[in-house]
Amino acid sequence: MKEPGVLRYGTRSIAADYARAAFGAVACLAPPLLVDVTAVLAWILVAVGALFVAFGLRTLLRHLTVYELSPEGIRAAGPLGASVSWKNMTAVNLAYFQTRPRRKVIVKSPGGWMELTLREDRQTIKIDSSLQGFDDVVGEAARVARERGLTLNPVTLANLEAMGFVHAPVEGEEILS
Amino acid sequence: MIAFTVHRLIIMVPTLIGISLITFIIIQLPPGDFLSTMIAECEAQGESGCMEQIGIYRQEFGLDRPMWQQYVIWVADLVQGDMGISFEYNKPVAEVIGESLWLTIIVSGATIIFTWVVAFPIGVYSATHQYSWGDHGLTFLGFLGLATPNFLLALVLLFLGNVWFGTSIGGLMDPMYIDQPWTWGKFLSILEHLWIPVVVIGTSGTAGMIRRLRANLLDELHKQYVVTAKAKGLHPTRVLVRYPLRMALNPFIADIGNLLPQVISGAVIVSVVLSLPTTGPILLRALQTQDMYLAGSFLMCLALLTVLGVLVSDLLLALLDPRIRLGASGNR
Repeated sequence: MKEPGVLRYGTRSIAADYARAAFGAVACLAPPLLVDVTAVLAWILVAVGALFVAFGLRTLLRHLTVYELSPEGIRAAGPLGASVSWKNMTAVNLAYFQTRPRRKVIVKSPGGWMELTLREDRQTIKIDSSLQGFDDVVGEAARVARERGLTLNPVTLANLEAMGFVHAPVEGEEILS
Repeated sequence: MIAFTVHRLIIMVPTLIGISLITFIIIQLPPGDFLSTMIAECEAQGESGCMEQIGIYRQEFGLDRPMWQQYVIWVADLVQGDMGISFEYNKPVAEVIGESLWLTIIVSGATIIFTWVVAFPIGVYSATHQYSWGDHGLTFLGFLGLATPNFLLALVLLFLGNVWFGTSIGGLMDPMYIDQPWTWGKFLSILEHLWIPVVVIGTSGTAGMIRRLRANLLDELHKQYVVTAKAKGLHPTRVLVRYPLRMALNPFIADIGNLLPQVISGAVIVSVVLSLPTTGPILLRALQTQDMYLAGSFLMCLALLTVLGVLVSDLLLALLDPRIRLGASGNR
């Protein structure tokens, strides 16, 4: 286990997300504001535009949040404040999202990203692979999940294996309960 | 999920621009336009007044402008929800399509329900009873459904429906209800006629869906976690429902991308054979007569629904099974 580390989202990924949010918000909200569109279309565009605005706010929150990884757990310091301690962690989910057509891809090829969700009672921390040091967090979460015999779903197991973290079942662990 | 949704929405923009460009070019490719046909008819009839009218039309619809300007005007109108005017019907495109859209949605909706209700249990049964007599029988029926051309099945069912049940040939309702307001009798008449197009349009889709579901479920059932779960003594139904069935649902969800455009496309050939008052024959007629705004806007609607359908299925698949697919060189 490494010494406590401070993790942040990379500037490039944050800038790209800001650009996406701005492009989407302008493209969706400009037509209803500037030209005469039908009511149904206006509502649809405003709804989608609101989604882009929400995404922009979420990017801002991520920009302002710093994650601290330590032997005790992981803590999010900032507006998205939360903490999950390894000894009380109740769930680990690792999902992979891919925006390209659903065909077989090679690990770490661009066009997709991993999202790790860690839960402890009412606290949840969700990070994705654009966070610097993401692999360290996944590795630690996988190790703790294995040692504590947490139930992991087949999707998480498959994604852990794809990242090189083989999650062999330990004594007493229920793969499918 | 919000990041995934935003990424997918942004990808849709260039896709739709590309589709609109291709649609417009294809519609413009044949020589002449709808007004050229009108001019020919005018000259044949020796009328002089209609030439002025055609000139007004040409100016009004911008047909005298360069192609790129026509495209920009068309797209700008589409973005505002204005699909233009149909030359042939001399009505806004929205009105022309709107009249038959509800009937198309009824037929397509019933077909989708039929496909899923029939395919799901049969697919599960075939996979869980692999190589049984039931599996062989249902597989045979499935291949029969895949191999039978829809229009042929339509003609056979029209004949049988008339001989056995006395259903009037063709159409989606008895002739007395055509162009009449909605009544209980009209609704019952539609229900009486509905089963033929539903079975005709849905058969091949159902057969294909059964094959995909069976193959997917068999793949899952042979995986290690299922063997482990069975070895631990879990009830077979629980083993099946917990994960394998969930994973095997992927083809159903992926199919939504194809289902949405089908809802308004109205299965053109079958609609012509069965004389259905759906949108399919309208599109065919618009393409034949080069009614550019009607054909173009309709094709754009189909493309938009396809892109939206793929978006919905991608979102659902990401929710249901967000796992990485490894290529051969990616395995480690």
